[in-house]
Amino acid sequence: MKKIRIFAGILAGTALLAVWAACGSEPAPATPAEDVQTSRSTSAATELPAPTTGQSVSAANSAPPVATIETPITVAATEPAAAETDSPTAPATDTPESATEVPAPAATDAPPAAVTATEAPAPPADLSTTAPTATVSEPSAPQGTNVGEFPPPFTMERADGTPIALADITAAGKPAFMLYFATW
Amino acid sequence: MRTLAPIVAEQSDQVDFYLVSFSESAGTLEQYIADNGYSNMIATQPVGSMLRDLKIVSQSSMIALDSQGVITFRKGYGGGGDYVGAFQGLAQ
Repeated sequence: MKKIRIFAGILAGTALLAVWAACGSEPAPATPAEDVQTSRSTSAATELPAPTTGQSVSAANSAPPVATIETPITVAATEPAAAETDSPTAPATDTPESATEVPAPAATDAPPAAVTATEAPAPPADLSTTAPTATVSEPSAPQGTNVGEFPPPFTMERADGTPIALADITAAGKPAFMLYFATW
Repeated sequence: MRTLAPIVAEQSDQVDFYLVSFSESAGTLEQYIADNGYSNMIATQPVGSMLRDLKIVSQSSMIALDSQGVITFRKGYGGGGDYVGAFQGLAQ
């Protein structure tokens, strides 16, 4: 019975030593793979103030002994960071941050295209609207006294003194026939 | 005048006919129109430099204007031309 207790005590002691050795000596047991991961997490923490990276840093500082828990968090935090910093060249990922970053350059490129589209058709629209009204208001015939010409302004008078001008005839929109004659 | 009078009476709702006298007053001309039964003719006399501006140098000159005021027919004394056809053309 005593032997069994002693053996159990030795086993417990060796187990404690093993646990102490695993927890107490951080840098020593770290493998080269862990070094790469920790460097990634630190670089992400310096570049990004996002809460996800803060969680990864705090998790890395608070629980250093458990290496298996630390690695998945740091990997999840570093991938979005790379997507944010290298958004133009980085491939499309499944993270929501990269999805929100992609439309940003498209939105910055849109305003110049819209400006050029609105500037270009404006002058033809104005010309097309002003041209017909000008031709309707005034005849395009040159001024003169021959056939096909627009006569110079004149005025005649009725028996009751009412003046009749060329403008009155054209405003009425009715053809006119004038016969000039004299008696003697 | 006698040739034009029935045509003017027919188409007076489509064409205004002005009788312009440069030797008589508009009142005298209006009386002449009434005495001869020429209806729907507007008796007028020129004002200012109308005759000079329109280059009216002979009697029985005729000028036709379309609805926009452009000259479509012009004839002087003895110059010939189908003035009846010109008048009817204005009415169409």
